[in-house]
Amino acid sequence: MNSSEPTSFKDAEERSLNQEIVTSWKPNETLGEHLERRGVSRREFNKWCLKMISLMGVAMAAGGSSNAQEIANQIAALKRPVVVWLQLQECTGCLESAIRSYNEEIGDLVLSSISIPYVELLMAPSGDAANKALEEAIKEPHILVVNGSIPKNDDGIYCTIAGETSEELLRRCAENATHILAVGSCAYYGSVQAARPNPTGAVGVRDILTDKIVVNVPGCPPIGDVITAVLMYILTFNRTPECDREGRPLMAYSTRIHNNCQRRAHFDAGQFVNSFDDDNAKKGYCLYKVGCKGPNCFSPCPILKWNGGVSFPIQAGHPCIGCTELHFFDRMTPFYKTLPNVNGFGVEGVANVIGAVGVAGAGAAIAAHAIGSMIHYKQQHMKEEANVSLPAFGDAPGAPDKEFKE
Amino acid sequence: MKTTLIVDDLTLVVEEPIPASPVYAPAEILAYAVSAAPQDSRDPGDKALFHTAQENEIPLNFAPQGQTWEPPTAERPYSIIELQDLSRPEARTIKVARGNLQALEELCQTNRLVRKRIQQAFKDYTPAGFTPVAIAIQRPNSPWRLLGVVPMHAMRKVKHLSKAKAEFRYFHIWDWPLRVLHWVWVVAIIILTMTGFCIAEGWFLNVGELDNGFNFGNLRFVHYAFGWMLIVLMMLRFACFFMASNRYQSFKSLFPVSKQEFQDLITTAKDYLFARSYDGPRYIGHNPLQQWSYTGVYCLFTVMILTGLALYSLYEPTHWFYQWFMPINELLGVANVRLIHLIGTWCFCIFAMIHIYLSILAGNVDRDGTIASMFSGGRWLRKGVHFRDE
Amino acid sequence: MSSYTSANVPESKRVVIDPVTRIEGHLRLEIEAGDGVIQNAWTSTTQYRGIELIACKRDPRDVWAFVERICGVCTGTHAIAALAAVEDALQYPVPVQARLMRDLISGALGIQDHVIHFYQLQALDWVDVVSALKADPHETSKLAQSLSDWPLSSAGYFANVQKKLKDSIANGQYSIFTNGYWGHPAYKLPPEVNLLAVAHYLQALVWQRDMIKIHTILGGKNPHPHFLVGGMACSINLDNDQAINQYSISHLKQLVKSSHDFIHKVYYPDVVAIAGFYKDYASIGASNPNLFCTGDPGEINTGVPAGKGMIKPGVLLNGDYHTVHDFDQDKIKEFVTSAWYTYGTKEDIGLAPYDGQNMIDYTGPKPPYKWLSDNDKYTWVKAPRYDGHAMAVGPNARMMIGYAQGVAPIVERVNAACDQWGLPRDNAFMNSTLGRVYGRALDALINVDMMVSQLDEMVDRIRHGETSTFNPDKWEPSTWPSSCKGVGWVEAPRGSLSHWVRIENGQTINYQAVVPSTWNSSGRDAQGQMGPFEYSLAHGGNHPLIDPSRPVEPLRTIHSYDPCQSCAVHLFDVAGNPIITRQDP
Repeated sequence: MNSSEPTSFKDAEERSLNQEIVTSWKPNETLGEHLERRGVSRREFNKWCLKMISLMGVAMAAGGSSNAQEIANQIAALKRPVVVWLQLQECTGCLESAIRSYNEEIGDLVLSSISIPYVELLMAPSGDAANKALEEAIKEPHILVVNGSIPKNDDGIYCTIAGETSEELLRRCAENATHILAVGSCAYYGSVQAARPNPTGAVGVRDILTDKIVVNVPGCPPIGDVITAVLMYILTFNRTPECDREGRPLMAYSTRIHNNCQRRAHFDAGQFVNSFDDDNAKKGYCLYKVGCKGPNCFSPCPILKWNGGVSFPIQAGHPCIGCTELHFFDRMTPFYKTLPNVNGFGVEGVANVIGAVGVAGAGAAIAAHAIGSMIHYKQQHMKEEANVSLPAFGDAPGAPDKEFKE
Repeated sequence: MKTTLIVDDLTLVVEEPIPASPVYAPAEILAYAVSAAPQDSRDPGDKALFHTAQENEIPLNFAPQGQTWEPPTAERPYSIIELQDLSRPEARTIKVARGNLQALEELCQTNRLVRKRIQQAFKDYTPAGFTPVAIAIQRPNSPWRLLGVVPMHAMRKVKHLSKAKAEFRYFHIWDWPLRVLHWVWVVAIIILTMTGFCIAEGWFLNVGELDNGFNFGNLRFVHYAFGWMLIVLMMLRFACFFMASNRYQSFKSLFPVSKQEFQDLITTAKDYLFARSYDGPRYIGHNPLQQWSYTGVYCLFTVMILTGLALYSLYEPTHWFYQWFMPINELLGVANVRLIHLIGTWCFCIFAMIHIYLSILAGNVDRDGTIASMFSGGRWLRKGVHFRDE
Repeated sequence: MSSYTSANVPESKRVVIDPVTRIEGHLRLEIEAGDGVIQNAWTSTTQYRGIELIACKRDPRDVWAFVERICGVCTGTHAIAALAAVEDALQYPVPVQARLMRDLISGALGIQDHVIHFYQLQALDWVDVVSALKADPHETSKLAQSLSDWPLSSAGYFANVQKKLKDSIANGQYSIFTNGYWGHPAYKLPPEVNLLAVAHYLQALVWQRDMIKIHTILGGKNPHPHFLVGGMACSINLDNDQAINQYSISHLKQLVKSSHDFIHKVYYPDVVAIAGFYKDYASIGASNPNLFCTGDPGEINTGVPAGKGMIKPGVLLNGDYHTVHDFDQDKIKEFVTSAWYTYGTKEDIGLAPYDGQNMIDYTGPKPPYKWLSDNDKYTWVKAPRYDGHAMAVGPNARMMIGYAQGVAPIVERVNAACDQWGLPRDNAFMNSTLGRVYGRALDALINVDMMVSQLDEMVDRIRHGETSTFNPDKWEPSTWPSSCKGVGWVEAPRGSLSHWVRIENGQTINYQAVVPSTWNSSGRDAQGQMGPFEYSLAHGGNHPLIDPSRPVEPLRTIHSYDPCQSCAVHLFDVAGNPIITRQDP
């Protein structure tokens, strides 16, 4: 072993890991390969596995019908699950939220529970080395987590990575993905960049990967705990969580904020904040009248709360803006009004104002009409009652009483 | 010069005569009209004319020549009489014709301009049911000349319309389930609207601490309860279409789409809009304008029910029943669904105002028990009136 | 085609780094390299969203939430700038307590952003993780304890960290360390320092998720806390369980204290210690010798910067780092010479932000592509210039200007660091790769000290009965002028940020953000002057790059700016907008 500087990646690795060459694991070695290298034959290994299996009743647990050899194979390949994390057209808020998860400590997650060979925010290499890590990872089965939307307009020039459009990148990464998570409102449908007028034609992951199952984890961003819990659900139970019609896991998106809100009792009692920081606000009254979209929005904010259960917007006095819902920047605005504006009547074209004006107008019209018609219906009655014919005066003699002019 | 004469149960109105040409004075025309009556006429119209002449001190200087009064016939709908002008005894007799305007215009070969002028001048009297009694004279060796027209109006007035039963016939039109449903809706919708506005904005709700702590919740409960009731009512209403006892209540009646109905729609709309005379087409059931507005209201109810159920589904979106309505939320966004629900309420308020007003107006104008029909189920149809949907 | 494109660079000398990782956003570097140095460089940002266009025709009270989503790393700072701009336009005064809350949020963001940047984003350029496996935990412990009295410093602790790392990569899965440039000769740290840094990297992750609760308490959540035009939405009420009360105050104090401890005892000492091994980088990677700032770290200005902080708004020009010129926002113009936008036919003019107007004009290659910069236009980032100068902004700019203005805490610290490294006592070194890394750490230190006094002030005011957090007087649109414009300045983590808004008839009709990373990552202007990223790589032709397949050196320099490229790109157009282009040359 010479003492000059290592000249290659492999070299450096070996030097770093040279403490116990024989017994330590070589890169990418499976348990089976490792044991073989240490002198345990494959046949002996299988026998051992079968003994363990019967001892532990694993065959029963696995449904009783799986092939013992299959189980042995699975035990042999003790690799951490691989997660490829893509960042497309986004602001990186979802990743920032994920690294603030409390139910999973992100350092442990990345070093011990899973392996993330590609995530632009945190990974060591750039450029070609990074792309190489990506290519190798996506060849094998992996979980694909996507942040960010895909801009479709103009050949996808609005988001390119390594000279490739985000759409092309996404498709390639999805090919061998066992599960696909679209994390964040951008990946769900485009979030702010998809708001009117959506200049880049931003769409969500499910609009690109139309033939694949995509689990959507919306929010702008979602609570960090939700992101990590959905990921760990998949890894722990080896299946996709049950989702609603929008592909959002029920474990986080089955109830509205309104149904779990700590200020709900004030709503039901009719106690509302009328203006920010008024006396009612200081008492923590319901924010419905200042535009809270809690009744419109499915999210676990009041249950999990944010940043380790400290608070959430409503608790901090600000009405919910409905950031887990589709097109919330267009549909939940104005944020401080209960209902959207009616377009075409200006910014303050609130439906109630228009309605009241309509009713007032109708009332005025009716009043005017009533006055105007009084004249005419008197005439109508006279005509109706002019039911006596005057044969001597020009009406046909013997004619029946008059008919009305058609 | 207008006068009114009451003879028994007849009320006769005579208005100032309209001359065919400015050279004729209205008084002169009236004098001829009075004098064109047969001797000892017991016709109330003659009495009315005479009464008018007396009231206005119009001299009557004519005397009939014997029994020369010829009554009007079907072929010649005017009477003719020979009169002697008593102020000019040496003159020969003149013939006076009195009766149908069109026939006398024909007789006098009145030119188009004059006819039009008369029609113009009479146009205010026509809708009120006045008869134009035309007067024409023929001097010896002269052609017939049209002098003018006397507007006359005769009505048989009863103290109370119920006494005029002979002029009406009762027609059952609305079955009892329909009527009951209508009035129950009225109650339900008033409550839904009021509670709905509170829920939408709560602007007049500012309750304090000392209450049962569930005021808003109770209010919402009432809204939901009546909302479900409305759904049931609508379903029953829908069933009624198929159990109708007459075609006026059938499902097909919801969509008056024939050409005639379309024209009538326009006419009725103009009549109401410009508050002009209600000479419009008469319908036993709903006239097309009315019907389309009700069909529209049923559509509005459907929208309100769908959006209401979509909002209600938010409580339990995975329930098998509510899953049918969640797509509405996903497509439009919950906030927009609420907005539509609110706009629908305003539309309904405007409709209700117009509906109530026009019902009262139509009832007063037509006087055939429009409003009562929503209680009793039938209308009193005036005899002699031509109904489009008979 | 102008002389500055890369059209004539031969294939053999072309180096592409795309994606540049450990930044925010999508950045691409195209470099002309040879003989172990960089000869020319073009930086391109490859993402565009159009948020300023989307922020038009909106209720001004909503706009902060839209533009906050410009960036989730410097989350909150754009929202605050938007509030300042709208409140300037509407002339809407905000209660003092709300301003202090915003200061605390801005400060908390600044220090968190800097710590995350150093450890999670920058450190792997200087720290060889694999080498940490060879370290002696006892020596590491001694080293740690020599730097500060931070408690997590026992040999057992470092041994555990080392084991965790070893177990992690033992099966060959390197996770985020895959394909790193481990063993590159440019790594100079002894194994013990590497192990110390790895341990602190993991501690930083734990620390950042905790102290950011300052945002959660005041703004409801992080990332993307909530704000309110006219104040803050949270209420202060000591006698209720639902508002900002003693629970919140105690919690805030604790969070500020833990932040103070971490920065004084872990972050700042680490930076000074590590910098000592890389002193050569004090003369590598200097940006254009023009810098400016508008105030203290995290300082918020509604309207023109008022100079209310320790550091006054100032400009350093032409390499003279001791003469501070006055700052005049009217001297800012933006060029689209190298950016994919057009001002119509007047390509070479610059436009002031209020009158900013441009349309997308993508002239680059259709993807997939291998090389961009052989065209005049090669990036989505516009080129802002101050009085024709290309300016660098950032925490180092603030510290340099503070030093030149004689701000005592800055002068003391800088001098002490220079002494430790054996450099002459001066602020000039801070315009370099190492200087930016150090400047950031000092910026965080100054910032956290300010936060302690800001929180104390807030509590003191509550003591005196000042509890208003919102001014309702100008909330209703009926109180607004029919037409107005405003600007908001914030000393964001990465430098001076400004938002410019025009409001008409109750709606925003024009929105522009000139962002620190726009200044820093801009391409060439009409005079062919490079922006700071490019300048620091290419100017002088002596920036090292010994192995193009493992480009550690330029990454060190680029990372030292703390790039935030989703922020950098901003562009909009309001179709049919009546704003007139200024005819300035």
